[in-house]
Parts: sequence; C-alpha cells; structure tokens
Amino acid sequence: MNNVISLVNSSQPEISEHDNWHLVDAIENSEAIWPKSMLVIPFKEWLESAEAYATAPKAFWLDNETDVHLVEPWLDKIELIALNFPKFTDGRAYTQAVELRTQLRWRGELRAFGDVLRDQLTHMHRCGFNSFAVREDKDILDAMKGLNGISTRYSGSAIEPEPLFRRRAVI
Amino acid sequence: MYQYDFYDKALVRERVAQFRDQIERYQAGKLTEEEFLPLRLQNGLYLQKHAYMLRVAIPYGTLSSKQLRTLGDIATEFDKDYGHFTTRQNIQFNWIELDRVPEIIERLADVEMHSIQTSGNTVRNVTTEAFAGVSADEFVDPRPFAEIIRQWSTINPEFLFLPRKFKIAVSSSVKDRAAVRTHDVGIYINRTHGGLRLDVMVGGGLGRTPILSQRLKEGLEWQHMLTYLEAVLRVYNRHGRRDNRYKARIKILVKSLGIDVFAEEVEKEWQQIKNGPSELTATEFQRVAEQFQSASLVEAPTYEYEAALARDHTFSNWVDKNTHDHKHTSYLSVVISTKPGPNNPPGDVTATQMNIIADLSEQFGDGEIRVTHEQNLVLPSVQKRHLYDVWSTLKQADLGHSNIGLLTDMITCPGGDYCALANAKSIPVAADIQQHFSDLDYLHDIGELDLNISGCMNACGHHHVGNIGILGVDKNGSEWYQVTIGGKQGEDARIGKVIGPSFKAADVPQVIDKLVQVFITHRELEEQFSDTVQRIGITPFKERVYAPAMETAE
Ligand code: SF4
Repeated sequence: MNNVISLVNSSQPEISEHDNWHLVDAIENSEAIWPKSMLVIPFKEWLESAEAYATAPKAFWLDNETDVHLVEPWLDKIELIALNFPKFTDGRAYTQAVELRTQLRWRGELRAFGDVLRDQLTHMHRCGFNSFAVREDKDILDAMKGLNGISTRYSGSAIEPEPLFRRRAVI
Repeated sequence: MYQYDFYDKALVRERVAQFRDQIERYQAGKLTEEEFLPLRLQNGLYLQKHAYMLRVAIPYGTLSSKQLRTLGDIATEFDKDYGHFTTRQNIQFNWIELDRVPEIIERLADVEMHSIQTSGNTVRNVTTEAFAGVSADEFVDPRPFAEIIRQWSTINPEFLFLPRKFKIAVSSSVKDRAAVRTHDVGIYINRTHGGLRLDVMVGGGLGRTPILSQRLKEGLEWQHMLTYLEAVLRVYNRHGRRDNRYKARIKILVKSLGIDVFAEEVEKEWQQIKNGPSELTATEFQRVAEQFQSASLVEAPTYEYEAALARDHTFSNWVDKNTHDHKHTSYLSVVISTKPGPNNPPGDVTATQMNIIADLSEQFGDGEIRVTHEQNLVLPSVQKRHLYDVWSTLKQADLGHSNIGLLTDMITCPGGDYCALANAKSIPVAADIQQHFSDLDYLHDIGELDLNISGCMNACGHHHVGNIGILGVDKNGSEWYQVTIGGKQGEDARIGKVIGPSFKAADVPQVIDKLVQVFITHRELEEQFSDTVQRIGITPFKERVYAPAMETAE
C-alpha cells in the first residue's frame, strides 16, 4: 500500500511511500507480483476461501458495515486488519476500531485506508489505529502533522483507557 | 460556577491554534471546501446567507458577568453590536469575517469559553434549565452532571463523525424546563430510589419528523452515566442511517428498531464497558460539584420590596411574570425578557445591554447570568429588597418587559433574514405578532401561552411543541406559514396538530388572534391553551380560523 504512516514499531511515526501490503477488492484481481501472504483481502473472501490457499493472506479488510465481532475466530491467524473510511465524514470505522481494540483485544496492526486525511489522524490513533494509508493525492509529510493532536484528552480511548479524571494531577 | 483548571485552559488554547492553522490552510487552498466544512462546523462556524456565523457555546446556559462582557465586546468589535441567544442556550454572532475568527476564539479562551462542537455531526453543547442550582423545586443541581458530560464529549474521538448531530439535555426539577423530551438523549436526575438516579430518555427530536423521546433506562446509578452514554452513542454510530440526512437522527433508529430492541443493543454494549475506567468516581463528582456551590445566601428584610409591590402595579406585574421562586425565601430569580416588542428580534441583545446585565449581576446578584431555553436571560439570585432597583435599571435599557411565559415571549429562529436553509422569514412575522398583541392587559388576560416560530422544517424555533406553532413553508417561491396548535413542552410534552392550509405572513397575527379568542371562549378556570385544545379538539379552532374566505395555500 502507498502513502503509509506507521506507529507499529515505534511511537515516532515512520513513513513508507510503498509498503509490502497490497489491498485488493478480490484475490483474483491481484497482480502476480504480490505474494498471496501479503494481500489484504476483503473479509468476506477470507471467510469463503482464504484457508484453502497454501500461503494464506495474513490480512483482511472490513467495510464499515461489518460487525467486527465476526472476525474474532480468525484473529490469531492474521497480522493486519484494515478498516475503510469511504468518506472521512463517515465515522463508523472509529467505533469498529475501538471495539476491535477494547473488546476483542486485537493487538496486531490496525490500518485506516480510504479517505484518510491529516485532520482526523489523531482521532483515528486514539481509537486504536496504528497505521494510516493516507489518501494518495495527499502529501504524507504534511499529513504526519495531523498526529500531533490536542494534549488535553478528557475521555478515555483505546490507547489510553483512563479518562482525564483518573489521570488528573492534583494541582 | 465551574472554573477552568490547567487542563481545560490548555485544551481551548490548543484548539484555537489548531483551528487557526486549519483556516490558514483553507485560505491557502490546501484544504478543499469539502474538507474544511466539517472542521469549521466542529468549531461552530457556519456560512449563512450573507456572512459567516459563529455559534459560541454557553455550557448549560451559565455565564459569568465577565464572560457576558466579553460577548458584548465581541459583538462590538467583530459584529454589528449585538448577539443572538438561541434555544439551546448558545449565542450566535451573525456577521463574522473568516479572517478574524481566530482572534475571536482567542478572546473566548481568555474567559474560559469556546465554540467547540456547537455544530457538526457531533455531541453538541449540553443544556439544562436556567434555574439550575437555585430553583425551589429541584432535587439536585444538574450542572455538575452537564459539565461532566461536556468534558467527556469534547473531542471524544469516536463520536466526532456521527450520522447526525446529537443533543443532550439534563433536568433535575419537578417541572422539566429543559425540553428534555425533544432531545436525542435526555436525562432526568432524581432522588426517588435513595441516592441519585438517572432516568435516561432517548430518541426525541423535532425537525421533519417530530418525535418525543421514550424511556430507555430507569433508575441508572449516577456512577454509570458516562459508560451508559458511551454505549448509546456507540450503538447509534454503528447503526444510525447515513444514506439519508433526514433519517439520520437517533430518533429514526429508535423508531425503526423499536425501543425494546434498541435498549437491548445498548445493554449488550454497556455490559462490556460498565464498571470500566470511564465509570465516574465520587472524587471527580465532588471536584466538579464543589465549583457550582453558590455564594452563601443570607436572610434579608423584604419590607421595602413588599411596599413597592403594593405601591407600583407595573412593578408587581413584572414580579409576577418575570421572577421565579428561589430556594431561599429572601431571594428570587429574575428573568430578563429579550422580547420587548416589534423592534427587537427575539433573543437579540445589544452589547450595551449585555454590559448593563453584567453590571446588575455584579451589583445585585451573584455575578452569574443564565440563558433560558426561551432565549431570555436570568439573574439567578437577587435579594427581593433589590428587585425594584434591578427592575428600574432593566426598564431603562428596554429589558424590563413583563411578558415572560406570555404570547409575546415567543421562541423564534433567525429564519430567512439570516439562515441559508430557510423557507421563509421568521423575524418579521414575530414583529407583526408583537405589534398586534402589544396590549399588556390583553396578554395577561390570555395567560401563559407558548408561541414558537421556525423558518423551515428544521424546527430550530421548536414550532411543534409550541401551544401555537408557526412554520415557514415555501410554495412556488413564495413564503407561507403553516399553523399547528396543541403542542406542549415539558415532561408531558405533546406535538401540535396542523390546523389546515397555510397563510400569508400578513394574515398570521389575526389567525393567532382568532385561535386565542376560541381559547378564551372555551377555557375552563385556569386551563392553559394546549389543555383546552386537548379537551375540545382542533375543530372549533379550525372553524373559526377558516370561516371567512381568507386566502390560503393548498
Ligand atoms: S428552522 Fe430553518 S430557517 Fe430557522 S434557523 Fe433553523 S434551519 Fe434556519
């Protein structure tokens, strides 16, 4: 995938213009150059056939209408889950991410793709995303600034479960 | 009232910097119109017919005198010398230049205010009733709960791109004065189960499909407030419709699932987070609640006040209409009418008036001012012995009109004069009605009557729950007004019924007059308008209004 900001290995964001994952809308549409194990395939296809492949893909993506609880049986077989933002104004994937992290205890990579823009990156991060495939027409260095959100965070979140009132220093 | 600490201050400062940067990027063409739109809405900035409008949050309608002065200064320096108070206890400035927005929100931050989430598909400013903390009939001050919700919802990352806007109201008095049942979520706080408990209502809202909320959870322990809200929002964020703007509010989801299925979904979600880290602590509640403790109230003689009441009929009329019982018998809460007559659009207050009110609150009150759901202002704690002085000053500033709760104390949205969504103007219609009903004795004789006007289906003027509701409609490019009757606010709220074809603006005052005459003829004892409608039905009203050949739109 292209234009990726990652917090997987470090709390300092790392940039890769192209990384090894390849997101497809169907396995059969993938170009031969990609090893099957590096495909990010639709979850539906994973359910139907993934296990039949010798080198099964290690990742799938969900549309934002899918109930994330359906993925639970497969979590130990994969390395990455990607969630779709068809439009940045459609906030369903925030809830999906929170549920994956806090209820299903998913610890692997959680990637946002689609209409992923600078001004929402902090929100995504707080909901549990740790990599971001920024919309390809956007400058990745500029987008990275979006991770410096606001330092006061009242509510708890997927990456910081305690709300401010439990963290608040007595001054 | 609540004072910002280090964290609250840091948040609003950083938010100013963030929005300043976003505005600059927009102006430099680095953010498209489409990308900028939700960002500016999340900061309360609308693009209206003629200019930008900035909506500033007044959390749960509570202001300090210093904050009110700052709003006055902003009106003078950045707008046309006035501001407009809204039904959700906010204030709007109508003539704002984009370039100057950072400067304005900086000024707000100086006095611990902001415009965050006063618009957009977010959790909006939390509202409660104007007499919170001082009313004789409340169980507990609802504002600490509202402040805790404010903090929880502010930039809560999961809920910034909801299917649609989300409004929460809290009430904790015998009489619901916060229009709880027309909110997406409403919370009634009470002490009926031994300890503080919450009744959570869901799925209310006006607009195209007016629905009153239903009970979702009864007797919730207060510690669970945030986890329970989180569960509700999560279910809504996941399942609320996004394909049709007009079907996206939580009320439609609740209606389509049915309240029981919806409640089950919420319960399932809640079980996962209940007793988790977001459970409220007694320490936090204490920390917030302490800040709302009112200045000590003292016994004061009332004989001057009694004498003035006996001496001055106009004064006693004003006291009768424009004050509210205080929990301490030496005090009253004063309601300042923003609706003195046809020349003042309801809710509009000039900078000079804001300063006068701020002075009064410092001199005779406790330095606090409240905003009511009906777009009026309140001095919550005034000793009775000072009332005459307060009233005299208010009168001189055109703020002493004694019409609270009466027909001319109407709720009016900005309508076609400002709002880009309007079908019709509201302010001139309100002015004509004011003109027509300028005789105070007649008004007092009619008694309490809620008249609400909206310029379009979005119902910002809450026309559905007005005893008489006026809705601007567009028929082939011209402005007409549809009339509903029998609506009601409060815990036993009702949605009004349409009486028939719409009217021209010029006919609205006499239509209302006829409705009122039917009411006066039929009312029993102290009966109020909506109860008369309930009892005799809308037919007698219809017959009277449509009897002569008046031009209406089919
Ligand atoms: S009711 Fe309609 S016209 Fe009035 S303010 Fe709301 S959107 Fe605008």
